[in-house]
Amino acid sequence: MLPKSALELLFEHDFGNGPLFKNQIELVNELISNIRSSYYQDNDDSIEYTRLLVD
Amino acid sequence: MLSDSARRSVTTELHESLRTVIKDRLIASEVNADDITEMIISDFKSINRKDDSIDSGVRKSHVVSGFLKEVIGANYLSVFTSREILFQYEMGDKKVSFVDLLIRNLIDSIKSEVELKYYRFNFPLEQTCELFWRGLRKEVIKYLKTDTSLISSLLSTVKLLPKNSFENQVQEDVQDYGNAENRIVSGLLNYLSSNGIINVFHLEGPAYLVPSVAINPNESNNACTYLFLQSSTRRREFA
Repeated sequence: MLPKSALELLFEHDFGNGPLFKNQIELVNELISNIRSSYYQDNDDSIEYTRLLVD
Repeated sequence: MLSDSARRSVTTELHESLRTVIKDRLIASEVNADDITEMIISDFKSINRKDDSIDSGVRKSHVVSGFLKEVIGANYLSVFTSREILFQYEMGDKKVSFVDLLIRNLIDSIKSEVELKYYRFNFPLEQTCELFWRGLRKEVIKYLKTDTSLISSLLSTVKLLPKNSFENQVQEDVQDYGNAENRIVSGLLNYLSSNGIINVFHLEGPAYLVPSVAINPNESNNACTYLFLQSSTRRREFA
């Protein structure tokens, strides 16, 4: 029986090989690293803009 | 992205991209990835509908009015948030979000050629930093499509920008509106970023308990901070 909640479907339900994604970070990483995704990071030049890391 | 207290935009891009990554994950499974995707999207939309019915009120208090004036009049804004800020206010007969306010103010400043304020956005995840620029680009392009005078305003703003920034490429593109649109926005974002007008920081410190906006944090006698608090039962936010 499949759950109806998006969160359960994405991160909790075992589809036979574990949940679809471990957590939201893994999902977002997949969305921006999958070449067929609209969010693929090479599809725009955002990486060229400022992105400063503060320790 | 999936906080149950945040409203997410269920765009075609999100829908199709989610379907793609879910298909990849379920490639060896007998479960139909399309069905799972539709269930997830349907739940997102259902959560949004609930938010709409609960959050139909718009803030009108003097606190809000003061906040809007301070945001518009600020020289420097610093935003700390781990999620979209849902705060809405009224402008004429329209509801406008905090994000709309920032973008509209930026565009208006460019159009009227006044000195631009400085922005510092702080996000806890590197991915949010990247998505911020993508979102800003999309919103500015949307403004270009709805306000045809903006292209010419941006062209006239070019004189405010350093020589050899994107003046030449803009002049080459004016005959091709679609191409010009993309390149002007790219040039504008590069200008805003490289000149430190908009800075995006990946800041991992414990600064995200509630979304906050610091106004003129560099001016000790003119600084203030607004926190966006949220009721635990009514999902309302206010400044």
